[in-house]
Amino acid sequence: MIIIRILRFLRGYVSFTASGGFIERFVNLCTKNRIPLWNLKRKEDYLRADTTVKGYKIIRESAKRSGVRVSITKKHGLPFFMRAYRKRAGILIGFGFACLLVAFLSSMIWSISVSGNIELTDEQILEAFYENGVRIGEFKAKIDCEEAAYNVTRALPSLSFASVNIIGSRAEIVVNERSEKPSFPDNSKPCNIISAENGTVVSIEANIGRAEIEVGDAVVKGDLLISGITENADGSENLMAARGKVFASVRKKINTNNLDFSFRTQKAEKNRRLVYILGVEIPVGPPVGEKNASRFIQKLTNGEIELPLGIVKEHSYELSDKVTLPEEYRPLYCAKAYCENYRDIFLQSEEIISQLVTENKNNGITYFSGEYQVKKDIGVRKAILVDIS
Amino acid sequence: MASSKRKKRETAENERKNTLREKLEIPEMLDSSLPHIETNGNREIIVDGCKGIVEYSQSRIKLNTGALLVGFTGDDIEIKNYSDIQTVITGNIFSIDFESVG
Repeated sequence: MIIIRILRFLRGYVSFTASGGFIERFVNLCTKNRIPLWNLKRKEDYLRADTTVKGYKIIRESAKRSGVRVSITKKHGLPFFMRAYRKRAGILIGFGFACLLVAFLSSMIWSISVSGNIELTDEQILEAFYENGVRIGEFKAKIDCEEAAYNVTRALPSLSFASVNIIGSRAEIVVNERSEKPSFPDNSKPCNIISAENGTVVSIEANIGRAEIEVGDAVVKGDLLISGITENADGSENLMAARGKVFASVRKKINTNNLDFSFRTQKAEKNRRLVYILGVEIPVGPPVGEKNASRFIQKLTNGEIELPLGIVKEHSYELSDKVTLPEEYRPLYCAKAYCENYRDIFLQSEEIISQLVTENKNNGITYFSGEYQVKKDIGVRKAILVDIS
Repeated sequence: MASSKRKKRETAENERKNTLREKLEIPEMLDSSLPHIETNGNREIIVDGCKGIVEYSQSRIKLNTGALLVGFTGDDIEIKNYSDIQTVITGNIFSIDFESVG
């Protein structure tokens, strides 16, 4: 229906009223004479309807035969609009110029989207494509999508696939990152498993090699846990890559008594905004310098497509001399440090066997310290040096 | 006299057609002499094969569809589109009535 409305608007149509005579006969005669009628509305003593310009020109005959008087109430559509403004050449020139401008701008790329990346950032991918001609403001005809994608996959080895699709004035970059080969321990070279920390052995899982310790043994850092040298029945020895896990009860401490409360803060901050239009940045204000500078582009977007219009925000700052954290914030800072330490212990251990948290006050500030017994794998591989000569 | 004979012949022919249609179980919809009318609630009615307007006032429209005269009574009714192929009537329609021709 909207198509019909657009066509009617483009071709022009008139609204008219028909009064007196025989309205029914008038409508029937119009249909017989192939005069299209729509939006017929019967009022008390007249009929209101719409018809085409061509139809209205031949409506007189039907009106005359049915004794009806017709008169135009309103003219609609592009032809009447154009006629009203035919003497104003500026509008026509402006319209033509706007059409040319739209056609010219449509031949360029104004928005680039990146999808499919996980590890690589959008900026890295955009930079690689920028060097291969896929950039905002570039003519679409100049871009060789296949070659650009090929060059980018060579420039960024972590990409297994890249493609550029140009849709209108938008370039859609689709990439696929290469899955990293899982790392396996090198079992071709002989090695032992030694202790990385002090502790008491809780359990031993010696898959390859010979366990040199027993459950309950106390070990210190560097002690041999699983040997890669095994003895055969005939007294000869085999060298192999020892494999296994040795879990030990390890003691961990968290102390927030000796924290450094001095910091550097940002000072002499400078901000500048630039208006971004069609790839051109127009600065508003003096430059902010390059020290600790960062910039952020905020483009107009509907959530999916970015328009080549926006604001660039530039920010830079200098670091102040060391300042000490005010006393009221120190307990909070200590609690944060404690939590971070606890998180590390928790993540690195298999199980927390026991914990003891103590509270002490120093200069009116409460500090916490903790002692933890955790179960963790303390074995690390150490190569066995073999003298071949 | 000739007119009466022709009417009798037409009636007989129509009866034969009806009998044949009933025997073959052909849907009424395929009978081109009857109008095809679609209604969307009581707000819009689409009539295919309209041969002319018999009556048109603010509250009533009566269409000639050949074999039947179809009348629509309602409030604020309007002919949205009018042609011999399809006629669209909109408004608050209260009732539809049918009247055989001849």
